[in-house]
Amino acid sequence: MNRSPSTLYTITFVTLTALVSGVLLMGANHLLGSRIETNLLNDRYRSLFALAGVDVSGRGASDLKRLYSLRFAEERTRRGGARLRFSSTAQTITYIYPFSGMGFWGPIHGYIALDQTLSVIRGVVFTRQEETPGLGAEIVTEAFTKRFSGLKFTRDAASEKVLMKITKAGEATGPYEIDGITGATETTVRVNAMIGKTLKAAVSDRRGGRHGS
Amino acid sequence: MGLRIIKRAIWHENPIFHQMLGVCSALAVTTRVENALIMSLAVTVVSMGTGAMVSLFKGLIPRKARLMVEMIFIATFVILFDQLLKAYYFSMSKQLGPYVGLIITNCIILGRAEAFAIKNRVGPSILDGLGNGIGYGMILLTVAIFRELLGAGTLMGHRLMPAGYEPARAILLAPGAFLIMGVIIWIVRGIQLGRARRSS
Repeated sequence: MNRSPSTLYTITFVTLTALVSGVLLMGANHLLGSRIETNLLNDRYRSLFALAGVDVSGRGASDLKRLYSLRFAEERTRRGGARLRFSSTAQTITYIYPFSGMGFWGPIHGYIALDQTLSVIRGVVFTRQEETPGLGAEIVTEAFTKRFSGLKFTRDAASEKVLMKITKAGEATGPYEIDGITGATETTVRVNAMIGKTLKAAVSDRRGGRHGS
Repeated sequence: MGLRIIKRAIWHENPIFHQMLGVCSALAVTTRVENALIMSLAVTVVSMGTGAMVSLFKGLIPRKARLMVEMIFIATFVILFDQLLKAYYFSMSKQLGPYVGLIITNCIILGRAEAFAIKNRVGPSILDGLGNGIGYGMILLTVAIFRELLGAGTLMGHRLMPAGYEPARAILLAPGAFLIMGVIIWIVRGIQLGRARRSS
């Protein structure tokens, strides 16, 4: 370290170090990549089944994949987006719409499940978020997500105006409003916007008759 | 010799309450004890690995580019740890989100590489990394216990406070962490100064 090496030595050393590091990381990615992919996929499956109200705890990766292909069908919305149609063994249908947008610190991704008439929210799950732990990140907790369950988001099946709103914590009044997270107003406002946009897409599908009866 | 290095890193030169390093992450992840545990483990592993590599190549690393090389070592260990977490502890990886990746910018690791590993042999450098990781982890866990208990009423996710307890959400904000950390540093420094006075 006490030497004063030439510029060529410095460049060569740094380049070699970066190359060795890159090769090492590529090797690790090669070894762990498929496992990570499986974890990500399983996490998605579990989120979707949880939304559909199916208990899949204890199921392995291949079992989850098989069940998913059996029960879920991928569809397009009228607005060109994607949605999933879940058919239960009792022939009831749940539509699951993905949503995403920028949170306070980073992107937020999730799914919202609606009943077959596209009028009532069955549940919400957040699959990715980078919000403040203990505050905005509380959106993933059951304490928050269960507030959506059973909520009607328009006045009636003929109405096209989305009335559902996530308010500041403690300010929810009326049947269409739910409380946001205490101390996480920014996250609440952004989540409200992305879910509201998704519900408008669902209303558009309902108007176009793209739902079960 | 080995024990002395570890004790010095934990008590006499603790990265947080003596060197004031790594405070940002200490504020960010201490809302839950579980997060603090994994973060401490990650910092310890990365600190030991970086210390070993810097010490091993100290005779070859060009002075002009030493920070760059140290950062490559740190980034490599952090990404490896992050990948392992995603592969084997996926739910924990999801909870910690971007904070594991941010260990790359944790001053403790670069600070110890510069202050210790670049001047010492491999063995002591690994022990220095271990000691600093433990020292960092002890403070993180102490802060996290108070924050999770008072801010959420839980410990390791289990509800401990009575049902009527209204969580003090302000404790979960960065000022709450500053307050708790300040009190801890005040107590520890008070003990250390008292001992120093008595021995002199």
